[in-house]
This record gives sequence, C-alpha cells and structure tokens, in this order.
Amino acid sequence: MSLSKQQIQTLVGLIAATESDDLSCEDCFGRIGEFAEKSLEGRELSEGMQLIQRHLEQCPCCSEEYKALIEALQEINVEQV
Amino acid sequence: MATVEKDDWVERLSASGEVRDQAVTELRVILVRGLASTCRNRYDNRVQADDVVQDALIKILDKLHTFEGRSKFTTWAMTIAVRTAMSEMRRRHFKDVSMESLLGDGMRFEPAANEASGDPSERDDMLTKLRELVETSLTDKQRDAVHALLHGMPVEVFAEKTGSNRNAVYKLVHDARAKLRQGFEQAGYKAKDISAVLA
Ligand SMILES: [Zn+2]
Repeated sequence: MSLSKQQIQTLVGLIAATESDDLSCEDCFGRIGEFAEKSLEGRELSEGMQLIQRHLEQCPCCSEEYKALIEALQEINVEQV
Repeated sequence: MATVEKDDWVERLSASGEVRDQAVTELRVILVRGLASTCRNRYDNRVQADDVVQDALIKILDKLHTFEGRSKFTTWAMTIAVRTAMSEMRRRHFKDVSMESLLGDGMRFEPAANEASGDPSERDDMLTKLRELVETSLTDKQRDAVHALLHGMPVEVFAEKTGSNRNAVYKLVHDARAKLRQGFEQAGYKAKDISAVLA
C-alpha cells in the first residue's frame, strides 16, 4: 500500500527536523528527571540540558515519555511539594 | 548548580522492617497517582496504574544505589515508573501486530500526479526526489524502520520485535533521516522548502 498523504507529511517533518544528536535514548533517560524539573520551574537550560531538548525534539519515543512524565509530575506536585 | 531538595527516601527505602514498608507504601501511593494520569487516554487505556506500579517499584528499589540526587527522589522514581508504564502500553498495543502485516510489500509512493505530463509542479518534483532517495539511499533495514515508524509503531516496539534495542533503532532511523535530508540538500532543496511544500 502506498504511503498516505499524512504519512508523507510525517516523513517530511522528520526529515526537516533532523539535526545532529549525540545522545542515545538511555543518555536522555538518565537526565530526563532533572530536565523535567528545570522545565517545570521555567529555568534556563544549561548546555547539557539543551542536548536533552535536542534529543526530545527528534525522538518520538522519548518525547512521548517526557510528556507523560510532565503530566505525572504535575499530578503529584499538586499535593506533595 | 542549584541545590537539590534533600530528602530521606533513599535512607528509608534502604532500611529494614517497618520503616522500609512505610516508605514503600508512601512511594506506591505517589506513583499510582502520577501513573493514573500517564495511563489515561494513551494506547486505548489498556494499562491501569495498578498493573505496572509493582514492576516499577521493583526496578526503583533495584536501582536505588544509582540515584545521584540530580532531581528530587520522587521525580527520579517517577521517570522509571512512567517508562515502565509506557513500555507496557506500547507492548500491549502492538502485541498482535506482525512486522509482515505492518510492512506489507515495502514502502511505496503513488506516482506524482503530473509525472507524465512534462510539466511537473514543485510538489511533484519533491515527491519524486523523496521516492528516489528512499529507494536508493536507505538500506533495507533503515527503510523498514522508517516505514514502521510511519505506521505509528514506536521505535521501542520495532526494536523488540526485530530483536534489536531501542538505542540502535533510534540511531538507525536518525541516520536514515540525515541521509534523506542530505540528499534533498544536494538536490538543492533546503529543509524549510520541503516542509513548506510537502508538510
Ligand atoms: Zn530517545
């Protein structure tokens, strides 16, 4: 079956968003908690944290997990600070 | 570097008897509350927080000695719990999907609409280039991984079903994307041009 218009758009989006990325998913996972806290506090990102951001922008799996993590942290932070 | 909140989770979870049991119980409550949010409205709600919290707790207790204090302890524990939950949701969601049925006879493109008319639009030119690049510059493995991704299969699931690992498949796909991007650039198309016309 041919790719749908939407799949082609997704593919083009992936191609256009491609930047160099020195991190693996494991590297990203190792620092994602720190990244999430900094983001939730609206803090400026250090160089190391910018690498995490770059990986998240390109890795759908890590980015999906990150969104879920933010939701979970917001949920628990409502009561526990 | 800002100081990270000091808490006694690690100490209590490493203790024995009642202290430890109490800490585990408290942590479980926190994780379930967070995971309930994670599991809601994702992958058909097939996974409930209670289903995965036990696995997550085991992993957390197992890795306790690796906690470096870069974040709050509960944040760190939640990263492990969320990843455990997401992996399980993905696994269950794609459990019955075979690679053969997903990939079919390979990644195919409709011929561009005006390909035969001799007056191709910019869009058709780009589609033709995309097809050519996919067919000639990617390895079979890269094509399969990209194809599966376009069908919504997460890299983690693809890795599991093909006996690989997530880091390797992420790299495989990333290299494929870089090759396609480079191919477009060599043909004179910048990333923003192709997004403007095709995305
Ligand atoms: Zn990743």
